[in-house]
Amino acid sequence: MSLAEVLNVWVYYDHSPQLEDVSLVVNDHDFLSIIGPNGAGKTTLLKVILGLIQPAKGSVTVFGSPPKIGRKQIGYVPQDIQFDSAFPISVFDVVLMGRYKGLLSPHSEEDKEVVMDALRTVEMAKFKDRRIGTLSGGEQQRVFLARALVRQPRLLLLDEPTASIDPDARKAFYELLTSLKEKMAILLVTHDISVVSVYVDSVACLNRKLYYHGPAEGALNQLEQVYQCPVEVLAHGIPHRVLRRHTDD
Amino acid sequence: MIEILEYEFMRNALAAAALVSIACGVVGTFVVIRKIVFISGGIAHAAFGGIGLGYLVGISPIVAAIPFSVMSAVGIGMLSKKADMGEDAAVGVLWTLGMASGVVFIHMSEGYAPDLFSYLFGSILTVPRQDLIMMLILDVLILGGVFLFYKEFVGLSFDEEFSTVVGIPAQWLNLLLLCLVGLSVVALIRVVGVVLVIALLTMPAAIARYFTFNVKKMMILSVVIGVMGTVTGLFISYVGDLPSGATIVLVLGGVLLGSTVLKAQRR
Repeated sequence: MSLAEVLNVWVYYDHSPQLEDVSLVVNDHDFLSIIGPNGAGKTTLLKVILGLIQPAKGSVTVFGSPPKIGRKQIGYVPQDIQFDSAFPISVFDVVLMGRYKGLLSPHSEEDKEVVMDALRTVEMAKFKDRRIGTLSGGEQQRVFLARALVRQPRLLLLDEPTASIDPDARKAFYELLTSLKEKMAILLVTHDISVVSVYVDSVACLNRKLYYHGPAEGALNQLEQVYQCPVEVLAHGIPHRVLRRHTDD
Repeated sequence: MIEILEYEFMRNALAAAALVSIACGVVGTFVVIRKIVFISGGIAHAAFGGIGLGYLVGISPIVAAIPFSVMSAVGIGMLSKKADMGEDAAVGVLWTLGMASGVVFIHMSEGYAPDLFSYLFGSILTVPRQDLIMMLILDVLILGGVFLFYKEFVGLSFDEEFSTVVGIPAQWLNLLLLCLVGLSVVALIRVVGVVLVIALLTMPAAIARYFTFNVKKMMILSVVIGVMGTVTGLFISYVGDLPSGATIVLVLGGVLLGSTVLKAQRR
């Protein structure tokens, strides 16, 4: 069974299409990245899978159920969360939110152990009593990853997880993700194509339509079509240009 | 100073100060961290429609304000989610519609509305015994609601989208929280009046947030600050013959200013 299945989905905002006839299947052990320019509908696609946006046409199933039911088995790391930096909450309590089980069911001791395990996984255990707003962008992102991990998900969705963190922290974050892919499928949205070829196994190129879905290497040839302009890709650890130079200047 | 406690009105006023401080500390904490100050201001002013309705049909204005306040909370909560209108516009509309209907209701009612001013600006020294009982009931409802749905309210305040994904019924609990705001507004009307309610729903919590980063501690601290602010304001207004509601707000404003300076210096 596929973990998430998006079939011929159309989404409109104010009558203008955000997603046109998009189909995408996420299987066990996938490490898939959705890439595309700003406004391509990447976040919209994630929200469709999470049942936060209802598609106008098409169908979505998550773990064989409608998204609003299946999403409880998804770990979700949203794009830079807009919270007040003075918000009175500790790192531990933020992660504990991921163990939510329903109305009137309090957190158990086991929940607290799972939270500590996840904080150790993301190397944030020593910050557990700090107020979340006092952490750096990269540290916060690790906390939000831990909050998704405590759901013990089989599918992890991340929306631009490294957009607001510096390059060193970014590299460490992707290495952390790579260490998780044995346990769960990962679907990562980014416009940062430089990381894609190094860490992920497959790529979906999105610009309202889905242009390509396959192994990461093949994607590089499709990028120009997606971005609709010549693209240079300089990947980490690859000392040469992957695509040709701009020729129109 | 102690002898003024022999007056029943003063004992009632102190009891009212304590009872409303519980409501405003607990609910005010969510008003501040959920950033629904403007919505709460709207609910408070819309409650004036209920006051007017009470005059018109000849029942206690404060009792009439309860359903009116809860209904305007639900109305603001539902309207503000409609993207076409925008939350701040929806709040502005219900804020003024509530007040306008209150003015019209009072005009239509027979006779003169002698204590109208006290509903607008509060009058803690004239709180009758039955209003204390009502405040107590409202406190029980508010504390019960927050006790049952504490982690959901905190989750929604921090990150509504993630909360929805993990299964918190965000829409319903948002409305419930606004209803609790509505109930605390009613409890507070006697003390500071509809115009100044929002001060007691924000200032104690805003001060408390300077000194803790734990929501539960913030609530307790807000209640304590609320009690101290209202009691101090009450005595100053009694001694100086000043309007009580406004004096309480000014005292809390002074404490807020002082703690802001203190906080800035510590950095």
